[in-house]
Amino acid sequence: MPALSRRSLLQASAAALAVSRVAEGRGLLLESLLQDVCASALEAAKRSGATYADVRIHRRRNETVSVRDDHVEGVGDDESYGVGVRVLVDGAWGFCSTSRVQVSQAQAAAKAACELARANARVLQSKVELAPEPAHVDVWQTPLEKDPFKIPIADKAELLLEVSRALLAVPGVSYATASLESRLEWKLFANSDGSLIEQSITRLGPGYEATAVDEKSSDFQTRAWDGAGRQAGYEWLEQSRFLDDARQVGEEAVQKLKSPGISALGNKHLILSPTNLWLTIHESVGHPTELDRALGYEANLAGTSFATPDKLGKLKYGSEQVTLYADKTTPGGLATVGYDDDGVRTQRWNLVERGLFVGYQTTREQAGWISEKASRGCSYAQDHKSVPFQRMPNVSLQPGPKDLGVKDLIAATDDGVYIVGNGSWSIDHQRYNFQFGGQMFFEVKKGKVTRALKDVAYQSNSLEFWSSLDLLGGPAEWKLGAAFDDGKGEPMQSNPVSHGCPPARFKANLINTRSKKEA
Amino acid sequence: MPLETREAAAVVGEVLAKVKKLDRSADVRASLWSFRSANTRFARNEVTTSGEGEESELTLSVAVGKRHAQATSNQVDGAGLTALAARALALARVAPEDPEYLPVVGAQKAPAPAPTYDEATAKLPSQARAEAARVAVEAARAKGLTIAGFVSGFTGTWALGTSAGLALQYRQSLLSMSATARTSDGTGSGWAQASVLKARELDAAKLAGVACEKAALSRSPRRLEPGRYTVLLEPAAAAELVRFTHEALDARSADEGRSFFSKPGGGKRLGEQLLSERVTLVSNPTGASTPGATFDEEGLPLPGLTWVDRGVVKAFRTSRFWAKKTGGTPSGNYGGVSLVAGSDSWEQLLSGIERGVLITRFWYTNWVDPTTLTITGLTRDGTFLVEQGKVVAAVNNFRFNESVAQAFARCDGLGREAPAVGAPESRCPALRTREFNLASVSEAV
Repeated sequence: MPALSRRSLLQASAAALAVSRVAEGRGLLLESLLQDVCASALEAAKRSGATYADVRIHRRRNETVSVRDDHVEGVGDDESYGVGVRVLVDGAWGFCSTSRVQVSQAQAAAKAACELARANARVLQSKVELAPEPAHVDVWQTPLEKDPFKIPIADKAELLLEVSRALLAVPGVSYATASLESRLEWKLFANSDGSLIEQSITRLGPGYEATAVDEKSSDFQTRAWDGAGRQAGYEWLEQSRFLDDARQVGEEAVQKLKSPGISALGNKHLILSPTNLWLTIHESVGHPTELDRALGYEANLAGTSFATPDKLGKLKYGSEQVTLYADKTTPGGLATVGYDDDGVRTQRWNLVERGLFVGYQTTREQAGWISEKASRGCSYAQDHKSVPFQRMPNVSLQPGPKDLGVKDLIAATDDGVYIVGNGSWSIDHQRYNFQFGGQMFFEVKKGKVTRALKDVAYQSNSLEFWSSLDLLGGPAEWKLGAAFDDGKGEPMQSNPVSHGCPPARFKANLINTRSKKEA
Repeated sequence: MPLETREAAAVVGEVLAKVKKLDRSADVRASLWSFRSANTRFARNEVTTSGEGEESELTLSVAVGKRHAQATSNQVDGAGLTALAARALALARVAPEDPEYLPVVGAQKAPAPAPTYDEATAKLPSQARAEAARVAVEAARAKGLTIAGFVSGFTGTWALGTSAGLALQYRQSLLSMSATARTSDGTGSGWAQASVLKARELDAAKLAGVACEKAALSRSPRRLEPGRYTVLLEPAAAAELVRFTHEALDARSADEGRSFFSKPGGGKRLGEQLLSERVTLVSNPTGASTPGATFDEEGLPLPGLTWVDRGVVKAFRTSRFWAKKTGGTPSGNYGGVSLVAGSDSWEQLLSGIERGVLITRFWYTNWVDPTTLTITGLTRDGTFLVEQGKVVAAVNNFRFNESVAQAFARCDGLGREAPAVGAPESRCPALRTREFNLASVSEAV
């Protein structure tokens, strides 16, 4: 286990700076305290008997601005900073963290992690073995032009107030909320294999919602913006339709309130906008193809999976048109990074290929469990005090070869419902039975949208759903959706992740969410 | 170890002083949690990961006039406090004015708390967690089952202070364990959970035994069609109904017409009999059986509150601003809510079922329609057919779509024991209700 000396760290830093495009003001590898913290933690772990160790100095910053109706309701700026040390002793993991980024504290954390590992080794059936990974010395960062943390709070507040005013200007809209979250993750990773990786990841999470109320009938409906979070600079938000969409969102809140509840129930055609389908991909493909879940490692909370390793290469997951891929390199994807928290270089690979289940999400520990020679690079820890484990990469649906859009899918549909945006969602603990709502629902008859509906949800089984896909949109309408805080693990950790897809047509069971009889 | 209460209070005092030194007009609140958390996970009959760490979380809320902002940091040494004070103040100065802002709360006397700290639990060594995992694994192996679970320890000190003279502290230690046992053929699954303030009260063998017994009993489930059934919800399942109801009891939403609790034409349904007379929902952190902090994050005292009394809505969650605007009283923000136990024995609850379903717990619950308080979710880890008052077979899992208000309105049986569910502050008995909508079959085990 080669511990990093100060000299080697400096060399590594220089190499990293030489080979990478480093933004002005970055390159903290040259900060001597951090070099010492990394090197001393790895050395302490080695002295305490670790056969592998990694150290991760991790800073997180979340800035939020939120607006309620005509005023700013909250401005917040949360920051955490610290170091986590993970070790393997006698084939067992141990992890310890501290918020004090100092040599002595990092050394103490390394020793404590080794003691934990020894305690765990007594209840171990098989030793942890890591798939090989070359040592990487590199710097990676979100490509951006405008750092959102350098945009004045007043500018962000004014943008949100402008959105809120546009929503409230629509007759019938009673209430409006809008918010913007800016997140920074900065990480310095070093391991006993010789990797030294600095990464800086910037994410934006904008959103807003209009509420229309009918006091006489005590009814109300909300309509949330369909846009998604993005790994990007502030310029992305400026160029997005964040403000432009506000009037339509307000109008649709009122339209939904006045719409009839769905009455044509049962197994019908669904045309799903990418703004709805991304979440169905997340739940019915993203989670089932997590290898730790499939093997029972998450059985106590998140559950297991129908997609067990014996079905790899055999299970018909969807129709021939369905190719779903994992990709930690998707531009703008929330889970996109240069390297995972095992120090593995990120990549793209297929999970479902022309309808066949072909791949899993893995870490260095897991690759060998399915006889793969290398990790897929899916290790992630939400902050310095959290232990890294397998987390979802961006998982996306490949667009079809024909240039089909929503209009084409509607035109080809005799009887169905077109669903936009995300509403309620729920799926069972093995990922079979799911139920999703939406923001807007439009009745489709004989190739045309006839009216808006409300109180709609679709319920299906993951495999039946993907097997029913019979019309697939093309690349022009492929779009990223995103979850800023996907939860998994005990203690629960949050993972940001995106899912891209075109519009597509399926069949599923439509239900009226207010009708006791049919629901 | 985390800071002692005296030390935590000193840090809070120091950061308040730092802000006031920068701006004498500032209105400031500081909330510091200093804690140690430790956990051990196990799965596939072995320990998988574990972690330990000491942390601080200091949240500083600063207002200058009606401009306010909040900043949080885990760096609480002198330099960290100075940086946080400057950051929070700078943010507040550039934040637009908030007409709803109210000045920080002044000196308060919080009710005497029930004991929530135990030295032995606070200092529980990592070996004890590993031992609990080992005991569970041995129990599962002995029955040919596979077990996964989580043992989690927490000890922390909370200090809260304001520039208006409020200074309150709280200490808590906690040990939690949960386990899920599964049969080797994958057709049976069982679960059990416990949260205790004193480590010596955690019986890992008993807990694992319950999970294992449920797994064995739920093996090879019989097919049962979806439909409306009488259901007997074990405490973990019934607690979900409580959680959603409490969430919906928000005064502002109700007054603004966007809640199940809104009255047609305006106002809220305070004083209306909306649930069964059997249903009483309370929060009482001063009680020995539901101990918790007796003040909230703003410093309001939490002496205890009845939300629903024998089916009648008695109180709403009401913020300070909304209380001022509507002439009401702020409710305080309670951390736990309990469904008061009834008088039925387990046998009595079962005997009232001619044909129904016994449900261990729910999974992935979510709102479906807030206008009717309808939620969805799934059953898991032990779902059984009950006929003529007896558990006769394991059955498949279900997705349900049901109004929690309707489920409470149709409640016709409540258990006389209410164990802690999730956290010691929240207790819930088993609950029987009729015509519960098990809407579709879930193949998941």
